[in-house]
Amino acid sequence: MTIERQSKSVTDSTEHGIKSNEALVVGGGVAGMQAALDIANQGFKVTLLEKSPSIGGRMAMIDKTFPTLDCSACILTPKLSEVSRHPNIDLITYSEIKSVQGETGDFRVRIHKKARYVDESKCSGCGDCVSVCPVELPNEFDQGLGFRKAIYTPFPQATPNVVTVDKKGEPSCRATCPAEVNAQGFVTMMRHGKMKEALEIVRRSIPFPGVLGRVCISFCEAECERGMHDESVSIRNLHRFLADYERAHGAAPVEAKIDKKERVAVVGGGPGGISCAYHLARMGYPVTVFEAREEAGGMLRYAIPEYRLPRDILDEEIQRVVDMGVKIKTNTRVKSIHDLKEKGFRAVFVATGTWQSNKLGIAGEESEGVVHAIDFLERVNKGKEVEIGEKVAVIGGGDAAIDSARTAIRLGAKEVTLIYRRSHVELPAIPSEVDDAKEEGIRIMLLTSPVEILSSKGKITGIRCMRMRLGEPDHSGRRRPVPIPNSEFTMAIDSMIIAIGQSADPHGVQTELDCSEWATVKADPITLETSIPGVFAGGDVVLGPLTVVKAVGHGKDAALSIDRYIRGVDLKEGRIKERHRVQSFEVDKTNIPFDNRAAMPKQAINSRKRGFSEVELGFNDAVAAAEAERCLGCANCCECEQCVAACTREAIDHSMNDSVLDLHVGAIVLATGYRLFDITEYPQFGYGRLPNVIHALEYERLINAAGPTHGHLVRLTDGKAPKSIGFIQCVGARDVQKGVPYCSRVCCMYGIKNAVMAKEHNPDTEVTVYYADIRAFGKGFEEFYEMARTRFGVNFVRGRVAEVNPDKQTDSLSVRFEDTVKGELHEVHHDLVVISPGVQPPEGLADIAVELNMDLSEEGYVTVEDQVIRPVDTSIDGVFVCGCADGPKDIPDSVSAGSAAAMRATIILSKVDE
Amino acid sequence: MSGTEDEPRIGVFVCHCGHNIAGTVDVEAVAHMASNLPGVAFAADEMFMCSDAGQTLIKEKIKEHNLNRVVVASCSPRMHEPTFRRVVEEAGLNRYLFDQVNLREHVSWCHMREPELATEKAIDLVRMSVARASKLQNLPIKKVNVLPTTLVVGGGIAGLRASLDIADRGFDVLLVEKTPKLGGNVAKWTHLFPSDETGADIIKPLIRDVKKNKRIKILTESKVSEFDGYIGNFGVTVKNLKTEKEERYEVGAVIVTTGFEPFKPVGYYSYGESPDILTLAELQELPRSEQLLKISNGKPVKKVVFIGCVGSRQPGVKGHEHCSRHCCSATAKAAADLRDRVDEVLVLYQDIRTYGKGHEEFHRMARQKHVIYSKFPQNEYPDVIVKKSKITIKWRDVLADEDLEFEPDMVVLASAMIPPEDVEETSHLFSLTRSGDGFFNPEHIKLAPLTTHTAGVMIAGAAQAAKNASESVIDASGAAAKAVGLMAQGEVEIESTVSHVIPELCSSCHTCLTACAYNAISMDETKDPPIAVVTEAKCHGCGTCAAACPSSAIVMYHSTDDQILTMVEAFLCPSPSIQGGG
Repeated sequence: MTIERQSKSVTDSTEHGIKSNEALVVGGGVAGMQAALDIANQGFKVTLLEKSPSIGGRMAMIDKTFPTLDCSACILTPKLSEVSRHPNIDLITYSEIKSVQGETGDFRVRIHKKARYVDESKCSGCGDCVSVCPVELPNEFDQGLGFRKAIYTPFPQATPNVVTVDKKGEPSCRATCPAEVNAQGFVTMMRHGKMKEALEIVRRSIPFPGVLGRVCISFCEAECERGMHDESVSIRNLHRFLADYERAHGAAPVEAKIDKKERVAVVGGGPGGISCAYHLARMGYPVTVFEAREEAGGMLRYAIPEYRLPRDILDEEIQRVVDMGVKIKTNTRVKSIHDLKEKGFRAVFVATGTWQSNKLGIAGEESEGVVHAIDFLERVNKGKEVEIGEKVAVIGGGDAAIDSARTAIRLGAKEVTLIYRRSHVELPAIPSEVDDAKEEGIRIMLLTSPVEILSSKGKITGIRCMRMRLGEPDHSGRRRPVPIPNSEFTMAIDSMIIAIGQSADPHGVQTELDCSEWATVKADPITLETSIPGVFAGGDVVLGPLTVVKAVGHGKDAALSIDRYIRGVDLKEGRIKERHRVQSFEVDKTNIPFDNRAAMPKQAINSRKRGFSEVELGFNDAVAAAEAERCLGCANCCECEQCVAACTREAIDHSMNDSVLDLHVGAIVLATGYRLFDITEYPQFGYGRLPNVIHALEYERLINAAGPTHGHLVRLTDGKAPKSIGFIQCVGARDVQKGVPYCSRVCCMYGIKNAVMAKEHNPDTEVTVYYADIRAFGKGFEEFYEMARTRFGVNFVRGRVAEVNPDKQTDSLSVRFEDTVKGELHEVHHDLVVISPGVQPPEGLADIAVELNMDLSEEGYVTVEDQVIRPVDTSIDGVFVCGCADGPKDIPDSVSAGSAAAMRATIILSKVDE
Repeated sequence: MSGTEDEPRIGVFVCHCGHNIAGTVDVEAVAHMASNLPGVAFAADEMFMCSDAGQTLIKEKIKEHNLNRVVVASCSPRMHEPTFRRVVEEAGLNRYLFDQVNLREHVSWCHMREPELATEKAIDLVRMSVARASKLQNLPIKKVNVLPTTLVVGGGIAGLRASLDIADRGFDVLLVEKTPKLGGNVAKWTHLFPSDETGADIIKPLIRDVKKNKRIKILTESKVSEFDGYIGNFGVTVKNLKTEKEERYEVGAVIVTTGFEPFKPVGYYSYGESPDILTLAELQELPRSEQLLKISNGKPVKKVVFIGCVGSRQPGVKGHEHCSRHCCSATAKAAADLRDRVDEVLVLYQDIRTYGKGHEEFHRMARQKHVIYSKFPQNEYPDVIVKKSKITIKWRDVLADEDLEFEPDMVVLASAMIPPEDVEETSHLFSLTRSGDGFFNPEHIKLAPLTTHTAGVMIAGAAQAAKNASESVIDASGAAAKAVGLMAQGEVEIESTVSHVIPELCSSCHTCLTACAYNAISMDETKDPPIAVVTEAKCHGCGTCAAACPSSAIVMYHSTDDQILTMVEAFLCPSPSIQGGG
C-alpha cells in the first residue's frame, strides 16, 4: 500500500465554491424520505423527487416488517405526513431527472414533470372523480392483483394526496378520426350501460351519430388495435346503436343556448356546413346556413341512397341542429361572400362541396344511356322517375360507384357490372358495402378500364375495355394501373353510370377566394382560413371529393377557428397535434381470447333488392354490449370526462402537458431503490404460467388488509385458503449465471416473515421454506428465525428446488427438490408456492448515472469510493447514495444510510458562499 | 396550565383502517353510539383517519361544529397520536384536547373471531374516551434551547466519523475515549475485510483529521462519570482515568458509539488450552508477517481450521442468541488470504452469511482458492482435543453425512461480538435500554435505528448491534445528522404530559425521588421543609412518582385522577344520563 487513504472532507475538492445550499433527493422511498427529512431538519431546503405518483416506495407495499411484525404502512405513514408537511421539503412526484450539469455545490438539474392532468394545488384527494371513472386497470401498487381506476391514488395514504390520471396518449381510433370522435370514450361508457353519456361523448365531436353511424368510412376501425389481435371493434355500428337507442327511448328535447352576438354565415348545408354550424351553436354563436337546394344535407341527402341512410335519420339529426338555434335558409344560393360580410356576418364558412361529375374523356361519353353517378343518384334520391337499362356498367370503385350499382339493381337492372381499374386492395369503397353489393348480384370487374363507349344511333350499345396490371405506386401511394397491350375486349350494355369522382364548380361562389386550378379553395390545413380574413372553407370544396367524416371534421375545425377569430385569439396556437399516439406494443394483448367482431344483421337479400328500405338493421342491446366489451382501452384514460363533471374543485384538466422544471442545488442524494428480479427467467418455477405460483411482493399485497383480498390469504385460482404453502428462497440472487452473483440480503428475512404470516393467518397451514443458507444476520433476526421454527412451526428445508409442476389431479403444485442436508430427492405438494425474488438495481438508474458521469458497478449499482470510511460518498463529489441504490439493504440499514447521506450533503450545503 | 371552561363539544371519528378494524368491529354502530353520548357534537366513521382525507375531515368538522375536543378511535397512539395532535392543532385546538382509542391492536386484531363482542368492547372504549375527553385540559407547549455541542462517547471508527462530520458541519464536539488511543477495534486489525489494507492504515487519516480539527475536543483515557440534564441541555462530568480528575461540560446532544468487544470463548473448543487456539480477533491482531507461525513453537503453520458461530446463535444463552453478522465474511476473507500462505484451510460452519456488498465474492474467492468448507450440524458442535500440544478436531460433516477428523496446526474461533464489559454502566448513565443481544435498543428498530428513548441521545455502530466497520460508519454519519438537526434548529419542543408536585401537599418524604427512574425529581432545599420539584424536560410522564406519593401531592398532567376515574365510571355506568361519569 503506497497510496495513503484520504478521509477527505466532502468539500475538499470544490474549486468554484458552493453556489447553492439546497439539496435534491432522488427517490421517495423510505431512504429518500429519511435523507430529505434530515436535511430539512437542519434548516436547508430540499427537493424530494419521486417518479411515481406517491412517495412511500416499496415499504408502503409491504404488509408487515420483520422482525417485529409491525404493520408497514402504519409505521410509515407518519413519515409520509412529516415529509409532506415539512416547510423545507418541496415534494415533486410523477417526475424524473432529465439532465444534470455542473459540479458539487453548483448542480443544475432539469426535471421532467409528467402531466398528472390534475392541478395538485386544487385537488383534495376526495375521490369523487375516482368513483365515476369507468376505466378499471390493474393496480401496480397491488402488483396487478387488484384494480384501480384510470384516475387514481395508488393507496389510501398516498402522499401527496392528489389523484393522477393514467393516460398513455391518444388511441389510434381517435387519432385517425378526422372529426376526432372519442371512440374509446363512448365505447367505454357503453360497457357500463351509460348510453346517454356515451352519446354525449360522440356529440362532442359530431352532430351525426346516426348518419355517420351508417355511412362513415370508419378510418378508426382500420387502425383499431383490436384489429391487430383478431378483428377491429365495430366502432361505427356502435355509435349508430347509440343513436338508434336514443330514438327508441326518446331523446331529451334540445334547447337553444345562443348567448353570443357575433353572427356567422355558413355557405352550403352539407355535412361540413351543418357540422360547423352545430359546433358554433354549441359555443353559443348565432349561425345562418345558406343552402342552394330545397333541403339541407348535401351529398348525404342527394348522393347516398336511402337503403343506406334512411331520410328520417338525416332529417332528425339536422332538425336537432336547427333546434339548437341554427337557422337554415334553403333554396338560397349565395351570390357573394363579400355581401355576407357586409350584411353583418362576422365570419363565413364556405362548404359548397364538389357537385360536378368528372368525365371519362373517352369517345362516346355523350351517348344516350350514359349518366354520371351524382346526377343519377340525385334524381333517384329526389324521387324522380329514373329509367335504367337491363345491362348496366358502372365505372369506378368509390362509394358513389357502389351506391349507383346497388341503386340500379333496385331500379330493376338485370345485370350490373362494376368496372374498376385497380385491384380489390385499392378499391376505395367501404368494404362491407362492397360485400353487400356482391351479395345483391353485382359483378365486380377489377383491373379493367373502359377505352371506348360503343353506340348505335347515339344510343349506347356496348363498351370496349382493356385489362390492366399494377405498376409502380403513384403520388397517392396506390399502385398505378398500367394497360396490358392487346387485352381489349367488348361488352354489350345498355346503360352506363360513370362514377369516377367529382369536381368543384369552376364558377361557384368559392372562386372569390384564392383557388387551385381545379377550383378548390386554398385554405390553411390547420385553421382552414382562406385568403380573406374571417372567411374559412372546408369539406370537399377544399379537399376535393372525399368522405363525409372529413367534411364533418373540417366543420368542427372551422368552428374552432371562427371562435378564435371572433375572440381575437391566435388561430393556430396549440392546435398542431403533438400528442403521443398509443403504439401497438404499448397495448397488452396477452390473455385476450380471440373473438370475432359482431356481425351486422341485414335485411334478407330478396326483399332488399326490391326497394330502398334500410339494409343494415342495427345491433340489439346484447350484441352492442358484447361488442363494446371487445375494446382494449388502449390509452387507459378514455377521456370520457366524467371526472371533470364530478370534480367540485375544477382540479382536473385533460389538456395538461408534460413540463420541465429547473433546479439549482448544491448536493444530490440518490435513493433510487431497487426492482425485484424478473423470476420468469427461471421458467422451471412456473411463474407466469402457473397462477398459484406468485412472488413475495404479490404475497404481501395478498395478506394485506388494504390489499385486493382484504387480507384474506387465498389462492388466485379458486379463492380457497391454501392448506400448504412453499416458499422458495434465493431466486435471482447468488446466481452468477443470471448476472446476480451477490446475496440480496433481505430475502431470507422477508421470506421467514412471510412464512410466519402464513401461520398467523391460518395456524393449520403447513408452511415450508426452501433455502440455501438462512442469513438472519441483523439485530433481532436470529431470534426471529428461531421463533419461526419453534413457536410457529415453520418447516425449514435446506434444499434446492428443481422445478414446480402443476398436478391436475389434486389441483395443487408439485415441488421437486433436493434436500441438500440429507442428499435426498423429494417431491412435495403445495397449494401455493411463493417465490422470494432477489433485488436488482432499479430501472432508470443507468440513465441518471450517465447524466452524472458516474460509473456503476458491474451489477449496475452505484459504487462508493471508500466502502469503509466514506460509505455513502459516490465517486462524484457532491453526490451521495443511500438505500438500495448502492446494493441491497433492509429498512433500518436504508434509513441509517438516508441519515448518513443527509449528513454528508449538509456539510457541503453549510459551506455556501455568502 | 389554563382551564378549558367551555361546555365540551366533542367530535368522535371512528376509523375503518381499510379492513383492519371494520372487518371485525361494526364501526358504523360505534360511531352511531358515540353520536348519542353526552357532550358529543359530531360522530362519523371514515376509511382511513390517518390519510389526508381523514385529517381534512377532522379539521373541517372542528370548524363546522365548533368542536373543542376530538376523539379518534383507530390504532395504537404510538404511531399516530402525533399525527392527530398536529391535526387538531392546525385546526386551532390545543394538542392535548385530543384523545385516541385503540380499536385495532386492542380490539379488532385480538378479537378477530368474536366480532359482536369486539364491537361491544369498542363501544365501551369509545364511551370511556369520550368521558375522559370532556375532562381534558389545555397544556402549554414548551420549548428548550439546544446547546451547540455534541458529546461523542467512544473513539472507534464510528465515534471518529460522527465527530468529524459534526465538526465539518460547523458544530463543536466533545470526544471521550476510555483507552489512551483513538481507533477502537479497527485500528488493531491487520486484515480488515473488505479491504486489503490493515485497519490501522484505514483509520489513520480519520484519526489525523479528527486530531487536526479545532472544533473537536478529544479526551482520551477518560470516561463519562456523571450525566444529567435533558435534551438540548445535558451536563456531563468526564473523569480522567489516569489523573482521576473530573471536569464538567455542557452539551446539547449525545452520540453513544461504545462499540463491542470480541467474545473470549473460554469453555468453547478448548480455548485457552493451547496457544494455537485463538479467536479471529486475536489472529487479526497478530503482527503482519510473510509467514504464519505457530504461537506455541514459532514453527510455520501448515494447516488451519476456522470454526464459525463461536458464542453466537446459541438460542437460550442470554447475550449470545444473536448472529454476530460480520464473522462469516471476515472468516471468508481471512481464510482466503491465509490460503496463500498455508497448505490447507478448513472452515467449519453452520450457515454462511456473506450477505453484504462484496461479501459473497470473498466466499467465492475462498472456495476458488480451495478453502474447504464443511457444514456441521446445528446442535452437534465439533470437538477440539488438545493432547501434548497436538490439536485434533473431530466433527460431523452434514453434507457428506460422515464423521471427520483433522489435525490442524492452528484453530481460529470466529467468536461473537458482544457488548463491552462496562455496557451496564453506560446504559444506566444515559438511561438506555438493552435488547436480548446485550446491545442498546434504538427508538424504533425499523424507522428510528439511531435515536433512543432518551431524547437527545443517539447510538451508532456496534453499540446498537453487531455490525461491520462500513455499517458502523454509515450509522455514525446518520447519528451525526440527528445531532446536527437538533443543534441547527437551536431549540426543541418537549412533552407537557409530565408530573407536577403541588407544594402545599408535599410532605418532604423523598419517596418520589427514589421512585423516579429518570432522575427527574429533586428536592428544593431552599424551602423548609424541602419540597420535591420536577425537571419537566427529563420527566417521561410515566406516573410512577404520582403512584408512589403517599400524600397525593403529585399530579400527572393529561392523566389526572379525575380524568382516569371518569373513564372508570363511564365504563361501569354506561347510562347516557350520567354526565361523563362526573
